[in-house]
Amino acid sequence: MKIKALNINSILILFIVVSGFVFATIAWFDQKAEEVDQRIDVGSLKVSFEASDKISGTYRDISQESDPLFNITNAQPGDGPFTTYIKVANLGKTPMNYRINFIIKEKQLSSALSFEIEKVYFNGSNNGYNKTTLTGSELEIHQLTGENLGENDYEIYRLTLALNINSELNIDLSMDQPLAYMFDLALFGWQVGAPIPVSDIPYKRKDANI
Amino acid sequence: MKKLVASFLYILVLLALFTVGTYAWFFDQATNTDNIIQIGNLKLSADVSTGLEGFGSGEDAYYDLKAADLVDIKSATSSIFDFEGRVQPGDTMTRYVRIENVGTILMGYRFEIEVEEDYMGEYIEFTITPYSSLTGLPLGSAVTLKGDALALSGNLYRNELGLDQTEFDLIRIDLKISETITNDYNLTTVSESAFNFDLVITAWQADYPESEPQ
Repeated sequence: MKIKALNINSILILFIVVSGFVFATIAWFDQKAEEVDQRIDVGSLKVSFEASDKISGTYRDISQESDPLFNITNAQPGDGPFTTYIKVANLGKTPMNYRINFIIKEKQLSSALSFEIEKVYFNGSNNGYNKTTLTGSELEIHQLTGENLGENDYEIYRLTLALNINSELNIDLSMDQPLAYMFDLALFGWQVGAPIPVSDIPYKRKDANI
Repeated sequence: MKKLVASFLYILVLLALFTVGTYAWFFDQATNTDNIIQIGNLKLSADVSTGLEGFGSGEDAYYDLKAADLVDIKSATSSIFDFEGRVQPGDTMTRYVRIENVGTILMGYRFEIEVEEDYMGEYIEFTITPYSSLTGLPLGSAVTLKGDALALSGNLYRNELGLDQTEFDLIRIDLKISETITNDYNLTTVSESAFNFDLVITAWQADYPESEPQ
């Protein structure tokens, strides 16, 4: 008797779940049936992440592992500042919000670096993003954001890295272990209207290199 | 009880379905990895010896300081020019100095003589001769400077072009008490005065000449 009751329960709940799918499916079919000429094209959301040495220069894809934005070795006092422009674009058709997080992987030189970041070209509003200067430590908790980028809309940031190296950092080290600062830039775009991601690196994907 | 557990499991299944639904929004991402800023360092090594000797063979042959008499100038507690007593006209002493860049940054450097007591400086001669580590022979011509002139300028030798990582210069320094010294210094009672100097080697970032300390 108990088994029978359990089966009835299972069947009822399964029915509810299946009904949900069926109704959803029927809802889409119904729309098509009522308006024969209506076309429903699926949108797309595709981010582009590029960089250039000049704001109006040729931008290169920087989403490849082999092309870091900054690759400064054997730095010494007097080097820099180093300026680069990064461009975020929506290549898809679905309006997009985005954020860029800095993921710090090596922090030894945090206090010797300062990053000046300014959104120099933006889509409509700069979203309240003003020129900001951050140390290497502060960069970790900073993020760049943009809203409502339509198809082919883009925004450009200027990143200027200044080195503040003093004689205290002139220490004996083998070439294998120089003092370093290392970071990734993670760009994440999501469709406008979707729940705003709450974590720094939302929607972690299996194949994402973050 | 089993029904309760079963119901709970079904609720979990339903919740999982809803959760998957939440993640069904469109999204895309790109990551620029391994941005790196690495610092270099500026370190010199200064050693002295009484001569040069050959090392290696064939294409790998080179000349370096005679190993038996090698002294690290940085840690040496005694002076590298020590006549061990009073000098007379014609006395000479030869030292070979190796300056090596043991850091990672292109390094310029200079030799200076800081004269603390200038007695008979006009009869003290410093002859500076750069040597080749490939042939063990002089590179270019020697330069002779007198002690009294060095007391004013201090500049003995400088390499502004710089040494790259692991590169080194070999420099021969001859210190001579000139034969032209007059009998004015040949006193009945020997003077307690002396020509007293420090040898100072200063390195800087050759890429930035303005970084040379004054």
